[in-house]
Amino acid sequence: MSTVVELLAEPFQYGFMARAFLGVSLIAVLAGVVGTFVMLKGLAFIGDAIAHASFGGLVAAMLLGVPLHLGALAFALLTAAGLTALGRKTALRADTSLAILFTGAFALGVLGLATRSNFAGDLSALLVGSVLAIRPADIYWIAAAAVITGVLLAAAFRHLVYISFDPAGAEAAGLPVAGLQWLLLSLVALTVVVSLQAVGVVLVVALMITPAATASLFVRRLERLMVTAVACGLAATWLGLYLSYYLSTPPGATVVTVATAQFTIGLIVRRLGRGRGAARPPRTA
Amino acid sequence: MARAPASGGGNDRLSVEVRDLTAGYDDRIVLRNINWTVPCGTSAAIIGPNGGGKSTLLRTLVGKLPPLAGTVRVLGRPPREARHLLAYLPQHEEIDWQFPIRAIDVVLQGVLARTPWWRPPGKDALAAAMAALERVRLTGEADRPIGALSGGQRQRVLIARALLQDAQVILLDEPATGLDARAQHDLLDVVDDLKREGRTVIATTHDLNCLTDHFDTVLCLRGEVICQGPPEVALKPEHLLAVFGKHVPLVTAEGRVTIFEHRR
Repeated sequence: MSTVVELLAEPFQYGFMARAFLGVSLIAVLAGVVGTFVMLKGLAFIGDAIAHASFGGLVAAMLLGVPLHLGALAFALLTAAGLTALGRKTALRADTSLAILFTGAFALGVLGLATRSNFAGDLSALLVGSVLAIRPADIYWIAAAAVITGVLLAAAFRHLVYISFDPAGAEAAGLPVAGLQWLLLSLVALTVVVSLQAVGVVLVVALMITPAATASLFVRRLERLMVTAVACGLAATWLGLYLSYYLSTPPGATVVTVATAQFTIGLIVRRLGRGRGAARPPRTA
Repeated sequence: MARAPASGGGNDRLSVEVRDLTAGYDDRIVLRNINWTVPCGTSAAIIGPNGGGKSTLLRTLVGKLPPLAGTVRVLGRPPREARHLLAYLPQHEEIDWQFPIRAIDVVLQGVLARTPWWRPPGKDALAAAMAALERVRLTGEADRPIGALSGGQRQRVLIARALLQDAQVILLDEPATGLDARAQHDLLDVVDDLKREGRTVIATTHDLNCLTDHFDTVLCLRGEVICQGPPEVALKPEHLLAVFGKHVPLVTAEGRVTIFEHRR
C-alpha cells in the first residue's frame, strides 16, 4: 500500500512536476467549462483557428521582445472579433474565410520563427507545448484567466445559453447577440492563450472539446455537463501526467491521448449500455 | 393586462402600423408600398409564396431590417424601441433543439429581456414561469429536455417564454410547419387565450392551413399587398391565384399538403 502512495507522491518532489500538475489541472477546469459551450455551439473549428492565429501573435511577441502572452492574446482577440464580424456578413462561406485567416497567421508565425537560431526547438515547443517548463508566472496567468472566465461566464451564463439556443429570438428580444458572441469567442481565446505554454497550439483544442464530448455521452443537463467535463478533464490530466512521468512520454500528448481513450471507452460503454436496453431518455418525439 | 404606454405620437390602439413601406436588401427590393395595420388584441396571418416578402416584413417588425422608405411602428414606437414588448418565434430549424436545457429553462429566458443581467431569476420568476407553462397546458413537461418535446409542444414552450417576457406582440414565423391538424388546433386555442389578454398574434405561413382560417385578418403578400381583410374575403380563390400563381397549396384536415393546380 505504501508503495502506491510513494508512486503517487514521487513526482511531487520535483518542483516542475508539481507545477505541471497544478497548471494543467487549472487548464482542465477552465477548458472544461469553456469547452462545453464550444462543443455545443459547434465552435471546435473556430477554437482551432484561434489557437493557430495566436501562434502568429506569440511569434510576433517573441521577435518584438514583449511578453508572449500579450502577443498571443492580442492576435487571438483580433481573430475572435474578426470572426464575429464575418459571422454577420456571410458573403464568403464562414469556414473558407476562417481557414484563410488562421493558416495565414500561422504561416507568418512560422516565417517569423525561422529568423531565429533555434528554429526547430522553438517550433516544437510552441506546437506541442512544454508542460514541464511551466513557471510560477504561467500558473498566475492561468489562474487569472480562470477567475476572469468564471466571473464573466457566471454573469452572462443565461444570456449565452439564450443566444446559443435561439439567436434570432434573443436578438428580437433585445439581447446584444453580437456582443455576447464576441464575449464567448474571447473566452475561448483567453483559454487557448493561457493553455499554449502547457499543451501547445495543436493540442489545446483537444483539452476543450474531448472532455466535454465525453461528458455529453452520459449527461444531458448543461450545468451537469460542465461539471462532468471538468471531472473528465481533471482525470485525464492526472492519469496522463503520471503515465508520462513513469513512461517518459511527452506530457501534453499523453494527457490528450488519455482524454481520447476516455472518450472512446465512454462511447463503447454507451453502445453496450444501449444494446442491453438501458433506459435513455428519448432524444426527440 | 396593462398595455404599454405609447410614445412618439403613434397610435397605441394599433399593435402594428406599416405605412408606405418599401423594404429589401442591398441588391434588391422585396416589398413595395405596404400599408397594413393590426389592432391590439387581434390575430393576423401573413400568407404568400416563398420569396414573397413574409420574412422581410417580419424582419422590419423586429427592427432587424430598417425600411428603405415608409414607416413601421410597433405599439406606436419605432421597432427597436418596442423590442421588450415583442417576442419573435423563429422558424423551427433556426433553433438548436438539441441544446441541453429543460422546458422550464427556456421559459425562464423570458425574464432576460426585461431584467438586468446581474440579477439571477428568483422564486418569483420561477413561479411565473410555471404559471406560463400552465397557461400553454404544459405543466407536466417543465423538467423534460426541450428536445424531447413534440413540435407543437416546443412552440407552446416558446409562447410561454413570450408570456413571461410579457410581450404584447407575438410574431410566429411559419408556426404551422411540421404540425398536424390537431397540434395546429392546440396552438389556435393558445392564440385565442393570448387575444383575450389583449395581446396581438401575427403568424406567417406559405401554405393554407387551419391557422389561416381562424385568424382575424389575413394579409396576402407577393412583393406587394395582393389583398387583405378577414379570411372569408382575403382567401377567395381569385386572390389565392394572384398570390400563389397556378399552384395553390392546401393543407387538408388530416394535415396533408395538397397542391391545387389551377388550369385555365
